[in-house]
Amino acid sequence: MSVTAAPPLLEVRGLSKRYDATRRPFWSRWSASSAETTVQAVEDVSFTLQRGEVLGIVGESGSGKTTVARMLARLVAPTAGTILLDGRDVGAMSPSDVRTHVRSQVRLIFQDPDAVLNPMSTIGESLIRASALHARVDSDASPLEQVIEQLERVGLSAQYVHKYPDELSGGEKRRIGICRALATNPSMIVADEPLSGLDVMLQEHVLSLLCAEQARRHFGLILVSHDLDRVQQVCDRILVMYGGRVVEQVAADRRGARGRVVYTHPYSQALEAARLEVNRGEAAA
Amino acid sequence: MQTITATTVQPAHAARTERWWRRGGAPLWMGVTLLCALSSVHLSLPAADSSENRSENRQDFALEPSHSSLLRSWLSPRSGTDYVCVAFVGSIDGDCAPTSTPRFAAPMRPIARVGEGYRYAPSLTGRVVEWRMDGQPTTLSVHSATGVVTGTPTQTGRFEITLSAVQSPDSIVQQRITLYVDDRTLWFGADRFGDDILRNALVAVSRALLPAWLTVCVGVVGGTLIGAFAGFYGGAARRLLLVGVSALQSVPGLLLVFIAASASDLDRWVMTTVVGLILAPEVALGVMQRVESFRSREFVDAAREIGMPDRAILWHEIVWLNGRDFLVQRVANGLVFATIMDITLSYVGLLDSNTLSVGTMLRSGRATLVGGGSSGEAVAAVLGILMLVSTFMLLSRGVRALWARPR
Amino acid sequence: MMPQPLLSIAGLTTWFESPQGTVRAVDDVSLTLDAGHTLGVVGESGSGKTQTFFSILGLSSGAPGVVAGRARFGTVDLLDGLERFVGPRGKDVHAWNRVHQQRLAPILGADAALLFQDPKRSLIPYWTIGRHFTDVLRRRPTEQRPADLLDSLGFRDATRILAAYPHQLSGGEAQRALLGITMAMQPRLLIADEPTTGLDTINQARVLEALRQAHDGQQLAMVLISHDLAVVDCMVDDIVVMFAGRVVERISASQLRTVPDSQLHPYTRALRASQRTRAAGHPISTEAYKTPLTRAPKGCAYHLRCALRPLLPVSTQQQCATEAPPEHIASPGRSQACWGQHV
Repeated sequence: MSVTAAPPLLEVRGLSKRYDATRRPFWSRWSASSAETTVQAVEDVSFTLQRGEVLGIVGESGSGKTTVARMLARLVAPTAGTILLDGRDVGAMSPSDVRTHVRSQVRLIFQDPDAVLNPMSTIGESLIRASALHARVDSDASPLEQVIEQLERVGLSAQYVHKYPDELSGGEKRRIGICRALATNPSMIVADEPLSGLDVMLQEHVLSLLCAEQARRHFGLILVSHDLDRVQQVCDRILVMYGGRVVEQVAADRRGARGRVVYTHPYSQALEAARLEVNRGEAAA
Repeated sequence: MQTITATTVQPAHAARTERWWRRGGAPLWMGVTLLCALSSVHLSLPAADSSENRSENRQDFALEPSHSSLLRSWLSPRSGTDYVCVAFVGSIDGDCAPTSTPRFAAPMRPIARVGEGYRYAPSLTGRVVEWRMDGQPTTLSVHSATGVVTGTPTQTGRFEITLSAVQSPDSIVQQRITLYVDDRTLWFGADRFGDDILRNALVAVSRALLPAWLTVCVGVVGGTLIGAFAGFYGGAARRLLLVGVSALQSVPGLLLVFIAASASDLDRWVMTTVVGLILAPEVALGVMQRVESFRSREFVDAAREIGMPDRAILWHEIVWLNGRDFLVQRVANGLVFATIMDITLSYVGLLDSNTLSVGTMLRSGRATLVGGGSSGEAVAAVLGILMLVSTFMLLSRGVRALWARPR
Repeated sequence: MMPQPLLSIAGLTTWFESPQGTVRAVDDVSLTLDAGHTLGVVGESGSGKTQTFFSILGLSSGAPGVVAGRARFGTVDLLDGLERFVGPRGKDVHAWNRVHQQRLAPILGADAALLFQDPKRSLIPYWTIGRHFTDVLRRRPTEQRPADLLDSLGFRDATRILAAYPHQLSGGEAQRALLGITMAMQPRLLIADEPTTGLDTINQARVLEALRQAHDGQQLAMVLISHDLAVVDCMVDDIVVMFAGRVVERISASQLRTVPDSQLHPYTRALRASQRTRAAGHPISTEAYKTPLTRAPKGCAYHLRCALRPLLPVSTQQQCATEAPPEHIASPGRSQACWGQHV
């Protein structure tokens, strides 16, 4: 990683999120009797992301990786820590500033492709509505033409404009999700489990599409996944999370036997071991 | 499979209109047109004001003193005495002395048709020395001894007629009516007053519908506003709504209507507002539940993530796209509820009884049927109800077809 | 005389009606599974791998469902009399479904058990895991204690699991607990439909280990349905690869490791290649997404995506596009359906 004077695209310092699950009776304002039950979902997470870099966040379910993704997309407010985007503190921005500056720059690809599109509007309507919020002035194409162009870039034909979300297969929905994220020409995309629930061939297809766009436009990409293999295939750097904390940060070019990334933390090694077990057949071959 | 290229997708308007019609825009269009027409027809019918006069003329048969007047006098004694005065058509030189007034057994039929003979044989208590008639169309004449009015009108228009019975030099009983002469075709025939049944039905339906829109405005729009805010923002607004709803629902709706009736002196608009208030809590609750269930859906997060303001998410993504079927259903329900309320209230005499309405037509229709008379008014009432029902059915079918997802 | 297989399916064909026309979800599929053996069914979504088993067990929704074929489980003919109800007349699908359900009632949940992708749908939300066990043991008494059963499936804290409600368990735990409950039924056949999809790597490993334990402990026959060749490969004896409702290759797990690429069906080859690049952490090809994932309407369903087809002689290429390839024996214990390998 080269050290430059310009601030990194994204800098995260001490990011924490605590969920308060305490059930308080309404009189608790006047008496401090209720027991505190809080869940520390994310604790003290710090990392940076350079322009055009691909960062992987790996961990099992419940490790807080999705919460990190949601905090980066400003869907969840962190309890502590700062997020600097291009050197500007996102947390200190007003909601309208966030809407105009951050929303188009940082895009999230949601984990559940089903739920991202409003079930009552067609793909075209959804995408046009989304792109109307961040209208591109440089293009003189009509919104519909722009949407069709975006759809074609992710390999979907123009007739998808008239389809409803429940008429699409899982892979098509993922591609719509990618298309939706690319529409605003962002400088950073956070992909939250973009491959879960897809079969192997589709995983490859979607990941390849995402990487091709990343290579073309050079945006920063954060790939959140539980799949160590896939993350190793595309990422420059890997963050391993466990119990809300980052346990290891490793550059993906540190490869050992059989092209596997070498981990030092016991948990990362356990993850790696679990993966090998699944592919036992391959190991024997 | 068809392949739609960018150029064939482009003419959006034509395609959208075509899709709209294919998906069942026709019944919706018909329903909406019918509804608008029915709601406003009494504002545009040329003889609209006449029907009121005519119903004034017919008061004393339409309303026998019955349970309705008892109810009315109990609720509002003042209006009860008003009724007694209003009910008398005949008068003695403007002096109102109910107990000793000689009265006409039946008023003159206020409607005549061009080219058809008109006849009215008055019967009056007491001896009559001479009959006179003033301001008549020249083709009508009165027999000065018997008082029988005969003639054939030759031109359309409205004519003020005063029929005077001279009982003694200082006692003259008069009957004033406005006679309408027209030459239109009566599709459904005429009732026993010679009124066009279809027009009566239209006017009555339209009189019921226009206030029904107020009910819907109060109930559905108010309920939606409150429910959506409470559902989306939660917290205190939600708690307040729940308290308000349970408070309103704990009072029987009919009691509210009675209270409103006695407090407002049977004002139709106040009553319809109250009916709307009865409707509002249920709508608010329904909208709140919908909004709450959709608020936590992922697509709301997705909309926020792309930078859509909360207001747009609430009103467009949730209420409009996912709640419109519910709201349209509530609007239809509200209209039905309000019209049924209107019919019931006017039937029992709790609404301004001087005007023509479905309820009064039903009642007098029943009275004439029981008395062995013609079925004209009953037909008009039934026709009106049929019109309402078919309009609502068309509307709901159209809306459902339009918003049903093509599978 | 050969012992009779536990489960045999012959010529199974299932159709569904869709707005686009009739979909052949399962097209002339034949399978056999001996008692105590394991079979893996691999294919992408929409390949008919799940539908094959759902339609013989009467779980497929939508008419008309099964239209032809024979299926035998132990001594029971599951599809006996099918032609009287469905067949070319295709009239009385509902009556057939009733008959089918009645025939399956004593088998399902007793001799044959199913494990779905989402375990929490199979568990009753207001029963603890222990209550589920009690219910099963009441119907099928056994001397094995639930806690021991759970221990054998890799749980360290069986008492906590037994006291927990389904929503208190994580996805992997719920799947393994459900497997324990299923094991208490002592089935002869377990059909696991994508049991690890949606689980993270560690939980996936645990569930697979539990499945292996269950198989080793009770000698039950198992069908493992998955889209992931790696999952199936490490678990089963025989593998059936399906594509677009048809079986494209049958191969034993040991052969899959040794047979060279050139002799495999192109689809199996693509699956295995993807597995290898993934495991080796090779960067993903940014061109891969340009291959359409569509299926051909005619001929070999895979021919539009086939990497082998461009290398074939022109006459064979045409055959791929027009005629569905028959299944042929490639080597002992291995058969495939591909014009390119059909020499």
